Amino acid sequence: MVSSTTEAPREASGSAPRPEAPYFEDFEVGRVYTGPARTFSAAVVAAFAEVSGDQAALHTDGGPSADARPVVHGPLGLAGFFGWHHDRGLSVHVEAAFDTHWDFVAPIHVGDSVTYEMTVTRTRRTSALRNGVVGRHVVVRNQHGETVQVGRTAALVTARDAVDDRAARLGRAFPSVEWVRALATRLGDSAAFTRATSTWDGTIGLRFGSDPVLLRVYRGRVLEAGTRTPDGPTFVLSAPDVVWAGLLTGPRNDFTRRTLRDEFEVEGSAYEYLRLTAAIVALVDEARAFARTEGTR
Amino acid sequence: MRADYVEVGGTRAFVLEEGEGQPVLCLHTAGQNGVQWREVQPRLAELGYRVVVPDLPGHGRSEPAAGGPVRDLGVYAQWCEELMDRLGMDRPFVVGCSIGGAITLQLAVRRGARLAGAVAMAAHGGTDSAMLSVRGLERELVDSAAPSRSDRTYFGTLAVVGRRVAAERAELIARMHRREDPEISTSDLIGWATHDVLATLDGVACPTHLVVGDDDLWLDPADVRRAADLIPDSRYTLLEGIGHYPMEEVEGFADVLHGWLGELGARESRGAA
Repeated sequence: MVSSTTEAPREASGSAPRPEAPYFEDFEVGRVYTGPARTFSAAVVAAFAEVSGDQAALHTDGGPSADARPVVHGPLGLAGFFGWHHDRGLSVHVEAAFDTHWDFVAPIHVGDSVTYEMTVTRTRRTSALRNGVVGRHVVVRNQHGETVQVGRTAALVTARDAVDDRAARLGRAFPSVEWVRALATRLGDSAAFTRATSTWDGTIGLRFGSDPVLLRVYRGRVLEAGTRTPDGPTFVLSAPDVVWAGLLTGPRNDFTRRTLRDEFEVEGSAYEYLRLTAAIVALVDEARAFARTEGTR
Repeated sequence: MRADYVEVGGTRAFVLEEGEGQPVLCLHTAGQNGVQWREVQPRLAELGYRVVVPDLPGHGRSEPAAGGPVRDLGVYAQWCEELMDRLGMDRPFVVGCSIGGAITLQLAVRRGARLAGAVAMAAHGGTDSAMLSVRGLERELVDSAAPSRSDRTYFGTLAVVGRRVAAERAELIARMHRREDPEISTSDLIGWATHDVLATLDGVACPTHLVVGDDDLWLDPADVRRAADLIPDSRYTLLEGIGHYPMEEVEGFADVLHGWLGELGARESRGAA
């Protein structure tokens, strides 16, 4: 993923001066935000111990590492993300924080400097149209480049315009039912996909985080697309949202490289999954082409 | 260029030979054959080498090994020793990639004192349980359990060709790699996953150069560097933007290799003086 935070929003509405703070429409799936490092000083950690009440010796006296530096509270690393988000000017139009899942992968020690990297993984305009939910994947790294925390968090963000632009933004609206149905239509026109599935009878499942979508395929045609089929999927290809966002919006179709790095899991018939190798590469090609159509209307 | 069938290990081996001068043995990757050296061989011969490119037994135009598909890279190393002796290759360089690189390391261990030097590419000398499981490979050996093999080799090759390689060239490499016998390739990979010469690398008696591309997903460059550190007279090169097949990916590879061989030769003569 190559986008940077300094890049201007793609579209500005009308002739009004372009606002600096991003609205819902500006959070494009696949876009990556970074920024300067933040150091957790002893004073900051002491203040957090005071505010949270977690004055455990681990955080105030010394930790188990060789140099006995106290360990930064895990939730301070998480709270620091929201501070970073605000500092970057990204919170101006945030109305609410939603589901947040955070893994503490390795300790952060007092004096460590961390960086936050946020990737937009999903966007969905609400039925009210005046705002939308933005899913983000966050990686926190220390000054050595080691990952110390990984998280997913969603936010409700005000839209610039209360209009229904869902059709125009469908290319990156995975894994919605509308998206997979539109993808199915495109696959019907894909010679590579049609040929690679021309002798196949089964159902391809794609799982984004915990949300699956299914494509019922018979002899090169997608008969139905949605979230369930009578017989269920032949196999399901699963990955976290951030992997799909990178695959479908990144600079190239690196599906095979990602499988070599074990970024995907397969449930169901591994045989049929392998049999459809070329079909899945073609499906990814088509989904990527679809994702590139966003913003052109 | 001369093509010969030479009897090695009791079966006929196909060998392409070109040029005169310092002998060099060039070894291909798992499941592939000497055609991987087709651009390198004539140019290297021009630069003053006797370039010998065999198809390992069971590969290309060579007959299968007498004992069936080979799962032990030591068997290939022994086969190469017999070939070099049969062809009268005196103090040759050995250059290999992937399993060919691992075989090169085996040869450096077994008879380093009789080699001018070794260039082992995309090999770290140790076992590989991170990327490959022998159980999984055993499953692949049952043909009916291994669908779309040719597509997987094609896409798998494209995935490990480096970012610096033009799309057209990557496409040609991947298309050529489809020509394999899965039984032979998979047996080769079992050999790759299980071979381990790390404990003996400190006894390598020839100058050795370990090379790895930074886009090679099959190897962690740190492992290659560790192997280089274990070898007394060695150097290490990380190729930026190159993947698992430097001799096919790097344009003008013969000239690059000529430079490396020159350095190894200079060190060898210093050592002998």
